[in-house]
This record gives sequence, C-alpha cells and structure tokens, in this order.
Amino acid sequence: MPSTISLRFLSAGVAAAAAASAAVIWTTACGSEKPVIDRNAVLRGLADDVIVPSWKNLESSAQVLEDASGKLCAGPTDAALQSARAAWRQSRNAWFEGWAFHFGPAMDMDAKTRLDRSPIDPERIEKDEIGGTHEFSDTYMETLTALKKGFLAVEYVLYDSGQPANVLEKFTGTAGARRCQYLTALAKFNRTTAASIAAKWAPGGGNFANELAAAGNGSARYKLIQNAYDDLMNHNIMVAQKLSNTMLGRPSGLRDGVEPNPKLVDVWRSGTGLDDLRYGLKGLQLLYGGAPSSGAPSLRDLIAERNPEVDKLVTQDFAAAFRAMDDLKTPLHDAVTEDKEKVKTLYAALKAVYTRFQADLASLLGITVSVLEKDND
Amino acid sequence: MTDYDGVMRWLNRSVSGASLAAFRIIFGLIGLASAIRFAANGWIQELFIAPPMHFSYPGFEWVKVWPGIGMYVHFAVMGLAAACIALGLFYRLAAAAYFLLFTYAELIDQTYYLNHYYFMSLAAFVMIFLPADWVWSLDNWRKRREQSPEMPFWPLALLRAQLGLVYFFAGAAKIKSDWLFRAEPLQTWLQARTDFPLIGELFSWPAAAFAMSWAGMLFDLTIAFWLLNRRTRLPAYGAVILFHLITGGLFNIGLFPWIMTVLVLVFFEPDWPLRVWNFIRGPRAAAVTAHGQAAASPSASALALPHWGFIAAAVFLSAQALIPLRHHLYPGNLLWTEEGFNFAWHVMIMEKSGQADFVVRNPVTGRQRWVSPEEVLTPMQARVMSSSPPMIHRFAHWLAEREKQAAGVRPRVFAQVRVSLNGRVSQPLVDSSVDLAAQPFSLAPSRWILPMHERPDDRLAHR
Repeated sequence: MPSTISLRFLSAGVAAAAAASAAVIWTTACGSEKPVIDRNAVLRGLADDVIVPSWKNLESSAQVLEDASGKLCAGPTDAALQSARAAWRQSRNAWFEGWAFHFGPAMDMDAKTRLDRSPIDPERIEKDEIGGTHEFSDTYMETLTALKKGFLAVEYVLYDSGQPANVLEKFTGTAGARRCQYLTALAKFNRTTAASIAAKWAPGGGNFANELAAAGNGSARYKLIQNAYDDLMNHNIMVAQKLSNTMLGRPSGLRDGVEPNPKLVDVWRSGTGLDDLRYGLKGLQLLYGGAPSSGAPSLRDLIAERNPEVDKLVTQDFAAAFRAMDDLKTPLHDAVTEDKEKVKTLYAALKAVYTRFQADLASLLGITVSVLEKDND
Repeated sequence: MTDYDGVMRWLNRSVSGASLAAFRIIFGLIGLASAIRFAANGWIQELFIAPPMHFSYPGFEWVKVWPGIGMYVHFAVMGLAAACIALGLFYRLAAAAYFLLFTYAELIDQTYYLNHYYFMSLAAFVMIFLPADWVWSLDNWRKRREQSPEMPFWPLALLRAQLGLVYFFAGAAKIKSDWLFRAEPLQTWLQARTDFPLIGELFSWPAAAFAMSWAGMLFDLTIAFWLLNRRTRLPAYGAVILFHLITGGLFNIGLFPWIMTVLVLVFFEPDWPLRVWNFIRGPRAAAVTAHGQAAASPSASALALPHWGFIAAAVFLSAQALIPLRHHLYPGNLLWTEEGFNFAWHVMIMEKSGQADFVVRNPVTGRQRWVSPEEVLTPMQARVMSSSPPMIHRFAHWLAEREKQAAGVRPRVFAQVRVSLNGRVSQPLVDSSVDLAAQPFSLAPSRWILPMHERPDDRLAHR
C-alpha cells in the first residue's frame, strides 16, 4: 500500500510538472520563430560563392605573377620590375584573403609550407639555387625545401637588393639569367600549387566544395554538419590569433615585452606587412559575411539569428580593426618602431576580433576542439 | 522492534546474488573496455604524457604522470584489475586496485574531468566493500567455496542509491533558468544537429529544445523512483534506453550512455539475469539459479550488513547527497564561476567558450610579456582552461613557478579572459588587475572572479 501511495504521489507530481513544462514550452518556445537559416545553405554559399572564387583568384593572380616574371626576365626594365612586384603583391593579397579557407585540400597539401614558409634562407638561395647549375624542373621544385621557395623567396628576388636599379642589375648577364630561371620557377610553382588546390575545390576536380556544402548530408569528409563548422571555425580562430599575436604581436614586441623587431614582419623587404594583415582580416570578414553579391545565407546571418548583439559586435570589431590599419600611414616594419601607439591600437583591435571568434562565435555555434576526439559529458 | 531494526532486516533480507554478479561482470567489462580504448586511441600519450603541465586538483598536486612507460603500465594494470573484477578473481584486491588506479588517472588533470569517470570511481570504491564475488566468480572456484546463491539485499540497495543519486542530482542541476527558460545549451547543440537521422529536422524548432530540456530534467529527477517501482520499472527502463540512445547519438559522450543503460539493470529484481537466461532457454529447460542448479537457500548471514557498515554507508551516501550541493556556499552563477561545479553531476548543462591571455610581469624589472595558453598547453587543455576559473588560477601558478625557475624571481601573473556562456555575449571572467599567482588555493570563494551580468539582449534576442 505505501508503494502504491508513493507511486500515485510521484505520478501526480510528474503530471503536474509535465503540465507546467507544457505551459512553459508553449508560452516561451512557441513564441520563438523557427530559425530560417539553413546551416548547409550557409556552407553551400560559402563554398560556391566565396571559397571556390578565392582559390581561382589565387590561381589567376599566380598566373599574372608568372607572366610578369617572364616579362621581367625577357626585358629587365624598371616598368617590368614594378609590374612583377605589383603582381607579387596582388598574388600575396589573394593568398592572405584566402587564408581563412586553408582547411580541407589546402591543409591536406600543406599549402602554407609550400607557399609561405617564414623565414626563408637567403644565403642558401644565393649559394645553392642562384649559384647552382641544376635545372629548375617541376620535380626539383616539388622537392626543394620550403626555406627556398614560396612567396617570400619571390619577394627576396624582387626586393632584396633595395633600389630597383640594383635589383635590375642582378637580372643581367649570366648570373641574371640564372636568377630569372629561379624566379620563373618559383612563380610557376606558386601557380601550379594554387591551381591544384583550386581544382580540388572545383566541381570538375575533387569537388571539395560539395563535400563542405553536403556536410552531414552525404559528405564523406564531414559526417556531421557540426564537423564542418568545427573545421571551419577552429581554423579561423587560429587565423585570427596569428593575425594579432604572431604577425603583429611579435614584431611590435607587444607579446613578448621586448623591443620591436621590424624583421619579424614577414615581408619587411617589400614593406607591405600591413597588406598581409589587411587581407588576412578581409578573409575573415568574407568568411563571416559571405560574398556581397551572393544570395546565399552567410555565417553572419546565422549568428545574427541566434544573437543579433553578437553580430553587431563582430561587425564593430572588424570596422575598428580596419580603421586602425587605415590610421597606420607608414609601412608596418617602420610603424612598429616609429608609431607605437597606433600599432598598439591595431594590436588591441585585432585581438578583439580574435576574442570574438574564440569566445562568442565558438560558443554560439557550439564549436568543439576538433584536434582530439575525446568524450564529453 | 525499532525502525532501525526493521531497516536492517529489510537490508539483510535474502535475495538472489545474480544481479550483483551481473553488475560486477558488466562493470569489469566496461572498465576493461575503457582501459583498452584509452590505449587504442592513443589517449595515454596525448592526454597524459604529451602535455607539459597538468591541472592538478587542489590537495592532489602529488598525483603526477608516471615517468617513462609508467602510464602505459598504469593502464595495463588497470585493465587487468577490471578483467579480474569481471571474472571475480582476487575480487576485492582487484576492486581496490581498480579504484585506486582509475581515480589516480582521473585526478591527474582537471581538463579531463567527466561525470561518468567520477561515477566509475565511486562505483569502484563501493564495490570494494560488496560481496560481488559471491556468485559466478573464479574466487569461488579458487577458494573451493560452497556458498549460497542468495545473499543479503544491502549491496543492491547501496548500488541503487548510488545510481539514484547520480540521476537525481543530474536532474536537480538542470533546474536552472538557462536550462528551463532559455533551453540552453540544448538549443545551441540541437540546432547544430539537424542532420540527426529521422528527427533532426525537428531540432531546428526552439520548441524541441524546450521540450527536451524539460523532459530531460523530469527524467533525471524521477527515473530512479520509476525504476524502483515494480509496476513502472519496465516502461521506465524503456525510457532509460531511449534517453541514452538519443543522447549517445547526439553528443560525443563516449561510453557514458552504455554504462548507465546496463548498470541501471541493478534496479530490476535481484534474479533478473536468471529470468532472462531462463527466458532465452525456453520454458522446457530446467530453471537455473545463480549456481546453475535447483534453487537452494542456505543462510547468507555471513554477508549481513553489520551496524558499523550501516553507519559507514549512511555517511557515504550523505556525503554523496551533500557534495553536489556545496556550490550553494559560493556566490554567483555556478556555471560562470565553476566553484563547486565538479563532482556534482552537472552533466552537459553549459556551452562555454573563452579566450584567455596571461601577462607575466617581473616585479623587479617591470618587464612583462604575454603568454597564450595555446603556446604551452594542448588544444584541449587550452580550450577547457580558458573558461574555467579554477584552471585559470592553476595555470597562473604554474606560469609563475616556471618563470621563477627560469629567471629566479617569482613574477606576478595577470589574466585577461573573456567568456561566453550559453550563447551570451562574452564578458570578462576574471579581474585582470589581480595577481592570480599570489592567490592561494582554498575552498573560500574566489573574489577575483568577476560576476556575470545578464544583458537584456541576451535574454530577449536569443533563440
């Protein structure tokens, strides 16, 4: 009898609680709208309208660099050098704008090591490559150490001798021909690497765009939608961290509490370090906001739907960081010593972007650390 | 006759030993599978050996990773002990060894705290004192022991109480405004799992998260009572299976759903394994008892719960009931401060992300530098630490100690941490002007944890 009574008591209690629950669910939940942003549609828009064009852009810019390098070698004039330099920067801009998308095929191919190893080894470049006699075949370039290829090696060849006249001087004579071969081989290697990654994203190639867009719906790479978001966001949290802590924090000395070291700006030879930061940040902005012309929903729409306040803050953070960049009037490697206050402002602004990605976006999207599959509870 | 005598008689009444034997075997096999899983997944290396530092628990700083291949040996012996538990071979020694080895591994690093690991520790501890090798064990063969297939009820009562407490407090932990009135973090998690088979589409509706939040709370709070009652036991067990199937499918919670699904069988009649076996064999087969023979019921009084045992069990269970409540002694939002959060069955009730940066300042030279957790910790450690005040505190001390060894001066360590809790806009978590390395470890509330402020936008705009 006591157990019957207690069971009745318990049943009555649970029935009352269930009724209360139903009432709360009805009044609280049903007042909310069903989210309209489809997470796969966000990935589809990102893949088709942002990432695939981004890799194509890198490929075409690398082609322009290769062509410009050829023209410089054919006729080492000041105009040809300026054209090659501009093409190099243009291609590097595309590379940095696409940094946000260096997951998937780019990660599989270790694109960063192939194209953007820092620092390079100028001494060995001069001695082994420009001073050598071997052919710069595709096979050779494939096996060449990252210390002697990629964007920074191209920059070294185009900028290291300082004034254009000095650079052009080195492109003359027998040694100049050798330097030309090296430069064009570097440019070609950049182009083929970019083309190969672009192909892996394209429908005719590996169609990784579809792998991403179909996450959780047939994708072999991403069994769950969440796996794709984890990959995307973990990578870009890292990008945001590198932009602030490594690319600005280290050369400015703000991270380590030491004197600024301009030579820690990767592209100090060309004096275009700020462009690296700017295009890296643009890539994050593209990831977040999607392509302006795209009709597909973006990550931003997804975040705004979940918490508009967070979206407002992300937008403000981006704007503040770009503003701080615009305020820097001198090249970054000079600014770290000559314009410390403005560099400090930029550092704080970039760190705010990083924090927003790491804390707010990761939380709203339920991102998990993907590097280690481990239980939770 | 006093009530106490009645309780003791109830606890010492004779029941089949089959259920306890099944519990022992299942527990041992889970322990063995868990040890093998750790080794096979490379987690011994990744979680214990590779990290340059570990987040010790206050008072357990002496619990360290063994040098060399020590951790592999540790897990091998743990697996062996678990196998011995399953076999009922040197049972008590195996149970004690498993408890010590498992708990030692669990205490090495706060990063890896999981409620089901805590449960395994508690269950292993309890099992040391249970006569779980009384039936179906190699110890019977080894000791040439002729014992009864029956035994007192108290071991099952103790295990039921232990399991019931886990569920009940997991339910009590869900009685929070975030869980009930914002349906967080379930809403965040469910909306990310619309690819879940069959019912995934429903997850995009806020009502689904609310319904599951409330149902989860009611389930946890009451399931033990339903399981205790014979009339409701079977449907309740169906609910257990459904609940753990869904949570196991939705979330990356490892063995936990399977552990709970099989261990709650202890709530069934003490002879349930025999009934299942006889059901499988069919009606024409002779009824089998725990001895595989016709039923016999000589006295198992040697196993009766002594008075001191009753008192010890009461103290143990009371502690189990009080420890999860200790967070009420601390000010602020528990999910924010995490003071009293662990060892309290706060199972999957928060989605928290943080970004932490530390300033290490030399008090003599005034020179300071920033340290990102990612520079020295594993990604998992960095991620968990960045939103956990106790771990932030521990990391600050470790940084100070490391710097002292390198520079000879113990630095001041400050932290800048922003954390987002359950979809809110991120806020500063700790007072960045406080030298965390100078703050002692104590049970007192940490004044350097900043309060979490509710913003109207977080409540109204979130969905």
